[in-house]
Amino acid sequence: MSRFDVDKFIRHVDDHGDRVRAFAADPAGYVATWLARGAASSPRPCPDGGTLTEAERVALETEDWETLYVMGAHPYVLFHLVVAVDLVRGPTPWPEFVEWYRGFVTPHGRPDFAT
Amino acid sequence: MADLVAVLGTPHNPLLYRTMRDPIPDDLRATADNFERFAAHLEHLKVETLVVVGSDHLRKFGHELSPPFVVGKAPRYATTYENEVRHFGLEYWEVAGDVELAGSILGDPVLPDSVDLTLSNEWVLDHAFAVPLRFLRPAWDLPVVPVHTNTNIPPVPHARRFVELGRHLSRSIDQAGPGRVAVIATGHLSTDIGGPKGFLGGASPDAEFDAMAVSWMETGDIDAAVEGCSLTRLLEAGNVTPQFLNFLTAMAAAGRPADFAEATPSRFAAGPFAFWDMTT
Repeated sequence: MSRFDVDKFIRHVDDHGDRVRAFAADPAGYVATWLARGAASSPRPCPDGGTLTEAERVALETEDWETLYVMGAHPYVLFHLVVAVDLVRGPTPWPEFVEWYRGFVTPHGRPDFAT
Repeated sequence: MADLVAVLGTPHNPLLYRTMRDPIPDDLRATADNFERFAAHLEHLKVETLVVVGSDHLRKFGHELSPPFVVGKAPRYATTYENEVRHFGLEYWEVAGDVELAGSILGDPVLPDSVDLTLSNEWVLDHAFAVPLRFLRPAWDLPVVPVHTNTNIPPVPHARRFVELGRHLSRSIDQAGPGRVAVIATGHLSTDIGGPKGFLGGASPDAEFDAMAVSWMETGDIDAAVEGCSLTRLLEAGNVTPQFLNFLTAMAAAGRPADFAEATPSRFAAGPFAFWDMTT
């Protein structure tokens, strides 16, 4: 796995509200487009595309935030993407949201997030 | 020769911008009072330029390029990224840059021998810079020199490098052209965003670390601060606690115990406030 590729994807989506809305509407489609752009530009750096392992792809498509946390996605950017997606879909009351989030990260402690 | 007349340390929690408004909620009163008092000190000391030491939150400097220390040398800066408007309700602001002082800090044309700095001629400042500026100088009428420190993307510089940065800032300000300069460090005490100790409703993620951090500033004990700020210890206190390293830069720039240092409680994790009046 590559934490860099996951962090790059997360930052790309949360950078703009229209991207967050597009991802929230169709996570699998958004990820597929990301991968296609990455493949088309390889091996050149691609600001709006990249590569993902199978496990990373599935975790992003299914919004399996817990797995992404365990994999070592940067906790700051991951948290803000999850907040952003929640805001788009109709925000969960903040106390409930943080309780839910803390609930799934706490069992895993502090995974290494160095890239 | 410029005069370093004040060194400050403040939080930059962006959620304060939306929540710390009249009528100020009781739990944020002390935070608001500290910002107002610090702003009054800057006014009283007739500060002309602000050197702001903060850590960009993977907006300008991400995993693609993560330099340890960056000095902004632009004539003008825009602040705020789109996601900071969505997440925190921040606004877009603008502020002038002090190109001449930035050049002195960078050591044009040869970088200083004590710390390796990176030049940036164009830079949108994120909330690490915008929030303290908004609260300390709401008129946005003083030129700034932003200094980014990488505390958010491992590997981060060793604590001792933050001390060297502070000493270098002090020396280079002394050697710069005339002016009255304040150094503002922004960061956190123990704080965890998206981690197991995040958003505990006002409880500190690590009260022991917070107490030690305030004590280091009160005593000016840089060696103890360096020893206590290993990356392992900082991350144990919360995943963005490494931003406290910016306060080591403030301690070193001042070179003596703080006149005021406090872990200010609020609904958020405790906010770090410190002040050194360098004219006394």
